[in-house]
Amino acid sequence: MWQKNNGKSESEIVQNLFTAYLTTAVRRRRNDYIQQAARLQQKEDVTDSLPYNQEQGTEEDMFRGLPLPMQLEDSTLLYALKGINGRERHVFLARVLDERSFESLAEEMGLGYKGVATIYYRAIRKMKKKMKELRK
Amino acid sequence: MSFKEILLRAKTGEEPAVIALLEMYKPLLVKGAIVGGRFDEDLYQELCITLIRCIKLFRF
Repeated sequence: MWQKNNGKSESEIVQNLFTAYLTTAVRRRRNDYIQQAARLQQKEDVTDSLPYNQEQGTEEDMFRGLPLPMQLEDSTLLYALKGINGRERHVFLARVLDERSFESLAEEMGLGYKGVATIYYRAIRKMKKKMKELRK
Repeated sequence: MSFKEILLRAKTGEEPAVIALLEMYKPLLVKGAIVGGRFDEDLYQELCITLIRCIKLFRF
């Protein structure tokens, strides 16, 4: 059915062009695929080679992976955190958990040092109030 | 039917034409799907998709 392609007629030229196009596409897809597979293999190897430590419960590991609100055992603190607004929470958590300085936070938020400090102390004041409220 | 005709038909999404091209280029795809001397079924599928994309994208 298929005759030898001499690249003479228009259709044959188109076929040759298409074959070249396809060959390049196939080669690239193949290289991508092989790279992907290699990367996947690497990841699998890493987890496989980790020694399984039975002394340390996996429960704790799972716990650490949870988002912050679910990690808090103290519901009072959670309540207090909910009581402050997003900006205050950001400053408070960055300061307490990430141990960021007021200076770096001020730079990030486009505020002055005093502005950030005010937000931080206001957040603490609010939270203390909330926690007191709940204890009563 | 010339190759150009088949390609044009496949471009408009005519299934028999696409299948004809898939059959025609099967050896190329199979050859490309061999990794480390072993035929990789997943890669073959990917290359079939690549062929269909090529049919759509090819300009002449």
